Amino acid sequence: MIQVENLSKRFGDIRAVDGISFRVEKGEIYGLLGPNGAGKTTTMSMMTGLLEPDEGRVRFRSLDVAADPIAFRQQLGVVPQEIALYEDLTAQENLRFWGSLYGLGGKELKRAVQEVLEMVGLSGRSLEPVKRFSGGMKRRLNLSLGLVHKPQAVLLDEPTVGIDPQARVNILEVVRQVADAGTTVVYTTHYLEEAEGLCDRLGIMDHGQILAEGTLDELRAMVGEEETVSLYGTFSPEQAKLRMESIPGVHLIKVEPERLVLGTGESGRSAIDLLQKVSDLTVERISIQPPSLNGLFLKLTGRELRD
Amino acid sequence: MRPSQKILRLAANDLRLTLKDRAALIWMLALPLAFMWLFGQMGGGGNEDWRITLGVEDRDGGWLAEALVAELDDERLSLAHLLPSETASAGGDSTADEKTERKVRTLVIPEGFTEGVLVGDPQTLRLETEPGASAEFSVGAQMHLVRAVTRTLGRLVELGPGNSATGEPVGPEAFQALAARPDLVALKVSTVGRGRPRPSGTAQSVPGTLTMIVLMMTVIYGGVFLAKEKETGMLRRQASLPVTRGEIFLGKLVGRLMVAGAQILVLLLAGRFLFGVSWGNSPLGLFLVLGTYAFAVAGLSTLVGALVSTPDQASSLGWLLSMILAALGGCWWPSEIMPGWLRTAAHAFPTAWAMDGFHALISFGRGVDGVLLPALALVAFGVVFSLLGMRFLRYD
Ligand SMILES: Nc1ncnc2c1ncn2[C@@H]1O[C@H](COP(=O)(O)OP(=O)(O)OP(=O)(O)O)[C@@H](O)[C@H]1O
Ligand SMILES: [Mg+2]
Repeated sequence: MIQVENLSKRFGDIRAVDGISFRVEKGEIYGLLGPNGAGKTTTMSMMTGLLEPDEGRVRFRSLDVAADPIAFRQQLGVVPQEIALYEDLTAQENLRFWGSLYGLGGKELKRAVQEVLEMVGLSGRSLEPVKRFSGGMKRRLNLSLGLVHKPQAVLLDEPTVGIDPQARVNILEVVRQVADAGTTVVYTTHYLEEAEGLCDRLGIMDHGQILAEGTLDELRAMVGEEETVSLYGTFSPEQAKLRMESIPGVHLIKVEPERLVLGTGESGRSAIDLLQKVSDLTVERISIQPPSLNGLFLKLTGRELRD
Repeated sequence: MRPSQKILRLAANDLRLTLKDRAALIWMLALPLAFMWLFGQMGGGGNEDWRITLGVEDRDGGWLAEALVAELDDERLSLAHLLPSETASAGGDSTADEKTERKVRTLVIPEGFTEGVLVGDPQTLRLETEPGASAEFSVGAQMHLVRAVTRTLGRLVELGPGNSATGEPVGPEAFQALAARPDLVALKVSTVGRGRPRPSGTAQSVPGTLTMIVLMMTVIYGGVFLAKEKETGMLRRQASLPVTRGEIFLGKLVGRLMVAGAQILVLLLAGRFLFGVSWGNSPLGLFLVLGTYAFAVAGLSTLVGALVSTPDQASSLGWLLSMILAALGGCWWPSEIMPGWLRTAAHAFPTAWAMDGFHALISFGRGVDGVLLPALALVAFGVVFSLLGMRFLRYD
């Protein structure tokens, strides 16, 4: 169990992390979902003890992490956002070095390295220097370095950035497997599908704050049955705003010069119905999103995750 | 796991990474060996163990001439025997060595030397020195020659005017018997610090090259290595391990120390066995100087790595520092040619102290007592550099 209490960090004027709290149970995958600059990495760094928080604290079981960082890190696996590997060493050498610093040695180390190589599907290439690996292979090795000592908790910072779908599937499977074995997992991402597919619970993060939190179902309930409708065309924002306010069950989420984002409310008003009402606007294209986290994010922030 | 164990594992990894880097190995080992050789040649090489070479042309061939040459041999001179014909026509089928010798300085023993001396006719030995010869060494040769002549004459005087009954002059047998007897009075010469002979040839170039190259490679590679680890996020990642920052830092420092140590060891052995360099006769003193020097430069390399933010910067700063420190520290030329104030000021750099230590060992034949001060100074440099490096190194 990891508990984060009121964690804050400022860099000059930027409130990178602004008083966030969450709790992750044993065997649970907790996702921090947020766009670039939301404060995910900063949160992770404070949890590892790499950055000192301005405020707040982190607990692991009964341990105050700040009081005994070494004991905590012995139980912790960290997979950083950037790929940090020794390119001139082989996959196996990288893992052995890493494992040895967690105090593993001899047969135990050998077995641990073998196991984790199999887990990430690299046992066939374990004797090759890392510089010959593809991006996806490096990502998988990067992940395995944080798992070699079978930690009680792992912090994964966007472990699937910039890789092909196949390597991604492998990584997600491994993370699930690790959690199922009883490891506490904190997982940051800005991929919606990943968060939806993998995480047991999610915190939606922006500007250093957690805006909403819960299981996937709980979060979906917050969006309701609402569909998000985007209208593209050339219209005056003022005119559009007035028109929309006259339609019951529809509310305006976002107004841009050539785009209008609407939520169609609980009344279950269909998009077709809506279109008839706005026939006086020059609508060139329309897109409809079913209820989703992206809709929720949009609703909470007025921005999209992949802005 | 004990802290020392973690530090060693981190350090051993650095050593391994360096050994895997072929370019690094070439720079660290092949190049310095070439430098040593080259500088040795430029600084009047070929006199690795301080032997003065002397060509001898014996036109007499008598026993007394031979005895004189034998005395010269005892003087630890490198003798090359030349045939009389060779003085007339340079070259012929003499070996390369002999040719060189004739060019430098040659002792000519005149015809009739043995007989002439025995009957009391004054004889003239000629020492012919070519323009290109090292003046210092020619003076040395003269000194040796005077000593050999004095000894030879002394024996003749002791033997007296020969057998007065038969009227026969002194023979080689009696002379040899006397020569075999230990000297009645022996002169032992030892050099103390004051009368500084200026180190030249390989005695200057080899320690100079060693000092410079160890500095350069340690500071540049160490700095670049650390900067790279910062840039790739490796250092940050290591900081998430169950090790303290102090342990990580010491791991880097010890790693550099190991790399420098390995490099020094190879160069030391190569110097000894490939170039016949004498490293003095105090292994412990040598270990003290080299060990503390390696510590000082390892500390400097971590400081460079801590101060810069990219490997390129580390490389530039490393180069610059090495060049300045090597030049002022007396690695390129004997510091004796620098003005006194500059020589004093240069002791603000570890290189000057290392060279002091080397000269104490190699040129003055001192022992541990002669290198204590340099070693102490080098330790102080190492401590200061390391503390600054630890202070400035950022892990996030
Ligand atoms: N060392 C630092 N100095 C100054 N500002 C920083 C520093 N680290 C992060 N920030 C700022 O803090 C904010 C949060 O950054 P952070 O890296 O935590 O975001 P993130 O959610 O991990 O983003 P991404 O998805 O791009 O990785 C950003 O505005 C960033 O510019
Ligand atoms: Mg990040």
